[in-house]
Amino acid sequence: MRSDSHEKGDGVLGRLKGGAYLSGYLRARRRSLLCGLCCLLALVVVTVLGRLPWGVMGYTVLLCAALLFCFAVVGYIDYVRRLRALEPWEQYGETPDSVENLLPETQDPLEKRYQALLLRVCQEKQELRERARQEARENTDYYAMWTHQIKTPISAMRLLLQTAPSERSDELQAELFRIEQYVEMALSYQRLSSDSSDLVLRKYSLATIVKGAVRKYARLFVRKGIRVQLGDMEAAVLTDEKWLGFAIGQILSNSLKYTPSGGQVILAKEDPCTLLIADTGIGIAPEDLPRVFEKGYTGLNGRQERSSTGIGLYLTQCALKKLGHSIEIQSRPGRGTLVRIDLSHRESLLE
Amino acid sequence: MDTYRIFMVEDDPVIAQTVQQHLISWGYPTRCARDFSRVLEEFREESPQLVLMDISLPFFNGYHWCREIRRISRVPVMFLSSSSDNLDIVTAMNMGADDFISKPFDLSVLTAKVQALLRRTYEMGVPQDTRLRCGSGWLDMEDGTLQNGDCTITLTRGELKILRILLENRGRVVSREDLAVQLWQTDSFVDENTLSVAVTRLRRRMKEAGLCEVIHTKKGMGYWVD
Repeated sequence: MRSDSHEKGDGVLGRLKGGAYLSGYLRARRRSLLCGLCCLLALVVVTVLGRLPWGVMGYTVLLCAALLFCFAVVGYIDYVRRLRALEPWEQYGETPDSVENLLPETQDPLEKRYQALLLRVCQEKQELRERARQEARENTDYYAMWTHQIKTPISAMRLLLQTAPSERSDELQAELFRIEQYVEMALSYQRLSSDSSDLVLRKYSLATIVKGAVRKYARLFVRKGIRVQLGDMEAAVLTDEKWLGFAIGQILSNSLKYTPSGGQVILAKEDPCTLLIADTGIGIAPEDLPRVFEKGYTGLNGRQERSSTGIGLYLTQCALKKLGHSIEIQSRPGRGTLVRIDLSHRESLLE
Repeated sequence: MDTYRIFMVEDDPVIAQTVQQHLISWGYPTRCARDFSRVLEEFREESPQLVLMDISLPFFNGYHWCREIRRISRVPVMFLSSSSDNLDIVTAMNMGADDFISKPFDLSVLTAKVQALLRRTYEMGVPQDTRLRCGSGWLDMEDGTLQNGDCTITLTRGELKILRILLENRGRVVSREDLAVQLWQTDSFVDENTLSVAVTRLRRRMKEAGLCEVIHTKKGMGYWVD
């Protein structure tokens, strides 16, 4: 008995309206019902054509009709019951066990087959999911180990350059700094994509975090001859020091990349809790502006600047989102760019 | 000033040697750990006044050795951490250390931190000698005055910072870029031009105090004082 009904969406899995049960049942059992009706019809036809007495035949027909009706009703009640038992489908569990609990007992070999098939699919899904999780964990571990290892030669090189200054050591230090930046980005990318959170939300002084980020890029600012103006930053913010420092660092790195020598970067605080970073750089083209936070988007500027990865702002936005902050960018090509980071918290995040 | 002995536990030979040489040149005899399964014994033998402890080590990690050392000594310990160690000052102190510095670090920052830690530990309440010899005169770092004979001038904060950095690197050439970067660490966001102007002004003022030819220029490389 195949059902040809292909009711879409809620109709099949959710609650059916009263009338839908009946029409569903009739459609599902139409052959048996049709068979019964045909038998009745046959009796009537034979009686009429064979000119049999209506008395006895009448009883027979009525009896058969009554029996047919009773069986149909019982069948309908059973059908509805089984349909209702499967209604919690929307909340069915992730595991094959919870699915198995949901399926009704049946002696019908056909139904048994369907159930077995369903359970097998659930099992496979769970295995795939577990495997994916395992792979993600191993990936994170590998990246963590890699970045840890690579910091050693980087540190060693830094120290060597500091103790043996030469004409080239300044340039070498600058290149080394870029390597460190890429390593930090790789680690941040990895950490942000995995679900693990090494987030520690505490109250920090905004001034300390901002100054830390500016100091980190001191050498690049000095080399490129870009001036920095730091306004009053005294404020307590609820945030994660490392990730906020990272985000500010990315913005500064961009300002450094896209501001010519002699330009300026200004950092200021807007009440109640917004950090402003403005530069006098080449700005962002209006057609690029809505897309700067997309992963891998390099835009007009990025394509000209060969070292652009396209993920810096993407990571920045991800990190800030995790902290409950928000970021907004305004820009005028040829004039400069203004970044606003709102460090207050949406109520939902405060637990 | 006493001589402070430093004991360094770092398994990367390049980092260990470079830091050791640098600290020795600053007047702190430094020994590096050799056997990383016997760090505690070597510590006992060395009996240092300060310990620099890397966190990721073969055999046992830095936290373990710090705990072991703390059982027998209150000597100041500074962690050398990698950023993936997720260390902050609170965790470092919970682990028994007094301070930490993350790799990769600048040697000048390390030196400053080591000095600060030594001062905090051993020189509390002792009147500090805040004067540095400058040519034939003295620079008092506390009140920013330059004294030569009976001539005393007061320097601006910027001038004081510059002179201080040059004197702390006495005998070594400090590139203009390095000088600027060090000034940035104290929130003086100078650029190279501003720096040149400031040095010229500083030289002129020092001349007023009778201190000539103290700051030398090495062409193409930077400044130095002797």
